[in-house]
Amino acid sequence: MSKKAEIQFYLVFVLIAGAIILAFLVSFGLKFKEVQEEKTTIRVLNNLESSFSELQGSQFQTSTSFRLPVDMRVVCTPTEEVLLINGRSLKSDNLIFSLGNLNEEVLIGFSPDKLPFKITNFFYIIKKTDTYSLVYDNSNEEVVREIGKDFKSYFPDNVEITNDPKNKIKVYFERNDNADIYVIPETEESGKIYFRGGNSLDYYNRAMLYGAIISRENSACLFEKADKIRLDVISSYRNKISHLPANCNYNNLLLNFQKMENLSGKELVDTAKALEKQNEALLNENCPLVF
Amino acid sequence: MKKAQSQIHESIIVIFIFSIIFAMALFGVYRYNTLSVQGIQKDIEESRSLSLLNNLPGSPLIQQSELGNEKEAVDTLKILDLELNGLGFRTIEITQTYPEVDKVECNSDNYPGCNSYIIYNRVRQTGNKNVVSIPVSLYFPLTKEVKVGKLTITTYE
Repeated sequence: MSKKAEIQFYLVFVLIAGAIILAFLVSFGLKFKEVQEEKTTIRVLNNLESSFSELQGSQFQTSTSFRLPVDMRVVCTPTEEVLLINGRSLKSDNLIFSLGNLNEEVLIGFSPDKLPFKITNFFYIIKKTDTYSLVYDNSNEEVVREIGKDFKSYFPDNVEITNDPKNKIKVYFERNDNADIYVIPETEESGKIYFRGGNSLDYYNRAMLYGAIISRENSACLFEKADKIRLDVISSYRNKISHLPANCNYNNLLLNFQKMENLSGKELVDTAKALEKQNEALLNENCPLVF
Repeated sequence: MKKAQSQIHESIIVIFIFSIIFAMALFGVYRYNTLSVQGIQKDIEESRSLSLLNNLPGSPLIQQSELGNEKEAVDTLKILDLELNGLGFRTIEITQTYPEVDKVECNSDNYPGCNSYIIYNRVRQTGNKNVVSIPVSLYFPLTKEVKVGKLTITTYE
């Protein structure tokens, strides 16, 4: 081999070796980044689950502060609810009300969803910078203060009940077409919530109202999931009734449980109230309670 | 010229050996990271079991309630026919520990003369298993008695 050819061979060898090393380094870098992201995602999810667990164990109506090192978004689809953390999606069993991308400091609140028996737990995640004004006027101050008191107790620094709103998100309790959100209460617990753009949702308890204030239109999907859970809980009570003494009359309760499976709106609230009374009446008859 | 040639040879050999060592080191770091992810996933499964252990007694499918207010006890009539789903490879069992009763699984025929309620059962035969438990109160609506029990979650790896 001539010297020129030998040098050319070495050059080609070094070029190929360099290209292989470079390709290896790049692919390693990408893999490494992927693994690190997976680790972060898993850690965030784990810490989030711990926060939810702690909140459920808490005796007080409170919220907990949580630091998200990466972007997180809660996406509800008809089949499942997923957490998009760092671009990765993870299935969640919790019903989480939030809006848009969450990052850095967030606050997590929790409230049981009851109608009139407990159905599930609702979790609320808001950004620390999100602030809400629940706006009253002379005619409805007492009602608004009563409806909003639990929401304020979850997020005391982020919620004000006022007639002079200064916060970012303003919630009115009378028809107001310019408002982001306005609520028309029908009873102390239930009513209709309207969003800018014309969409509206029924709520049957305050836990649902707070969820709808936070998640806006997205809460419809979470309400549907809560409805499915309600069916499971109703089914468990119907099973329980089948084992209760035959000399006690549970027929009316069974009938109302059955009705509740298909009702919505005011009819559902009325049936829930009737159910509550029928359950209370069992005490006078010395019969075991259903719930 | 011969000296220069041998220097080129040496350099190539050094680069080659260095590349191999470098690649091995990178692979080691990558492998360490992957294993640590697996470790974290294992920790998560364990913490999910602990989280279930904490939260399950508060589930409306299990918890006793009186006039809509939740009580710190498991309603045995609710768990008699209960079958949970979607909780991975686990067995969830609630047993009565005091007073002692026959060690048989409960059903509508032998209730309340039985001691075990299996509310979820998806067994994986291979691998290790992790068992966690907590004491719970068991409420018997027919007699309005409260007895002592144990909620046990067995997780299969």
